Amino acid sequence: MSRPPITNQVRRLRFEADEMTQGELGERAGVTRQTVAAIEKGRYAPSLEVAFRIAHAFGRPLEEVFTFHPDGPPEG
Amino acid sequence: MPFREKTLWVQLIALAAVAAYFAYDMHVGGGVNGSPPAGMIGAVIAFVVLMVVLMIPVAALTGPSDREAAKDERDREAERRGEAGRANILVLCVLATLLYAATHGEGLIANALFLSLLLAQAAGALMQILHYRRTA
Repeated sequence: MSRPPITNQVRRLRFEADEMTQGELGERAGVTRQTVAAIEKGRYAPSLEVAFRIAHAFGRPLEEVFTFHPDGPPEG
Repeated sequence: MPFREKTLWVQLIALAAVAAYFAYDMHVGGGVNGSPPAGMIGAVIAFVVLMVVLMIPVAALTGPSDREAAKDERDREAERRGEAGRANILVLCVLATLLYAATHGEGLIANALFLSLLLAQAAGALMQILHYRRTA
């Protein structure tokens, strides 16, 4: 399955938030630990609501956490 | 791996084993027309027993937080994709059976299958209309 054209800073922001675990973030965003892992790896694009919940958990605006790439996902 | 995915792997293994046995039983024990109720009931019981037996170690090896995690949007999306795949296969099989019944003088079965397809299509259309109305 192709990767969604969205990258994110979730891993870095978790690290900066006192190494918040994927489980803790999942609890705040209303998703499972595995879904947080899939989002971090760029394998799954969350819904707008979950994206907002994740940004809210970090106290950051949405565009600081997620970036949309209209020409497709970046390589790597 | 989420607990729900593990459960689906177990389900796939159990279904493959039961389907293989059922197909073998049909072939060996009287062909495809042989005593449908008994074979089907046996297959359902075998499936339930296999699921229980296989799920015990899987559940034991999964942490309680994963086991009890509520369904999230990724789970629901996976479920919708599963439903779509299931519906496609079911329609294909019903069409094949309908064709067979219609050409072999099984009018009641052919008509019942055709009506089932019409009802299923209508139910699908209704669900989609409801979604459009709710989100309009």
